[in-house]
Amino acid sequence: MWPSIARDKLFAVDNNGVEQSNGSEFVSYIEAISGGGAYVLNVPSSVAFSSTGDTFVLDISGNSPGILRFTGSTFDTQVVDYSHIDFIPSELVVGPDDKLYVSGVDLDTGLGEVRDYNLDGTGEAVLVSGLNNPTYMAFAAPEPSTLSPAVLRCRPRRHGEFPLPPGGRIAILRPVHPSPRAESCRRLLRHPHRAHRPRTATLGVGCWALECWMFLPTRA
Amino acid sequence: MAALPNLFISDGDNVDVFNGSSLNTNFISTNSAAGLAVGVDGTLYAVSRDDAQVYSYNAMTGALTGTFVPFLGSTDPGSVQGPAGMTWGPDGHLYIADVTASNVHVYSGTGASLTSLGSATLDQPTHVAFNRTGQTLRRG
Repeated sequence: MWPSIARDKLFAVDNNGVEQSNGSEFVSYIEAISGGGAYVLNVPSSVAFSSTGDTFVLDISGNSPGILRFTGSTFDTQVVDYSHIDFIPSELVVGPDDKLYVSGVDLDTGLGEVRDYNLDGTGEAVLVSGLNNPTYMAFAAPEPSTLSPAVLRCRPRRHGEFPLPPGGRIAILRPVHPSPRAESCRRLLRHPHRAHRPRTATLGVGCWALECWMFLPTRA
Repeated sequence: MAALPNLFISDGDNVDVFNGSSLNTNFISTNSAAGLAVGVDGTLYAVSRDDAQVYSYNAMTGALTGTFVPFLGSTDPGSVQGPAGMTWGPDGHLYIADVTASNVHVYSGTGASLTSLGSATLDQPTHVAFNRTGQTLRRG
């Protein structure tokens, strides 16, 4: 039995802030020049969501650029502050490794970059440099929302056969600690983005801490 | 830790790709690249701001595989006028923010225009994204 799940919601970033779709139209979710917490959203550029459900908004305003984390009804944390460094941010995404990736231009070098951070803003690193004017980004993996409705995570030494929903497919995107002993793991991991159509997924002995993303076929 | 998948970056008139160690700044040449999205089958989709069309590409080679959403004219409600960010949804539809029309266009998995989402408050959207509420469901 596959339990029912909450449906993912669509968000749009515009001049008014962050809007949320109710299915037929957009309504305000986070208003610009507000926030209610310790930080104020001025000019939002993009919104991204971590796998733990936190909302991150990139503010590209001239006087308060940074990445704000939104929980509940307030911005509780500015995880990255760009107001004191020579970097003009452009777009934000959350990677499949649950890190923050920001495109922009380094004013010291005049070159475009992609910088990455942990979700708490620590660990800043320049992932890519030598770009011109980078804006939108996408990883070579299906959009996270298309991978709903389920995540099947195998704990250490848990293995066996798992049922799939009718018509379901499985793609293994992120082996946390792939075991060299698990032939079934290795076979699947050779094609990390290939969709399979089995009725069950069998995870071999030693296939531990392997994250298997389950998703239904599209209804297009 | 597993290697990070390739990262595609809209960069002026090109889409660059970074494979974790090297950067290809001429992976795809297009007219003012805007939003990027990767489908469940691994196909890369890029929308051209100048052409107002969505193209599909082989994500491994960068080869153009087709025009996914054609431009049908400036008065056609099914055409994107000012494309910006885009994303695939859990329903298998492609969502594209339109800064000119101030709405979000929705296309089927085959590129057919389905509808446009807007409101009185939606003002020049530049980015769209789905949250991830449904993902942590079952852990073995």
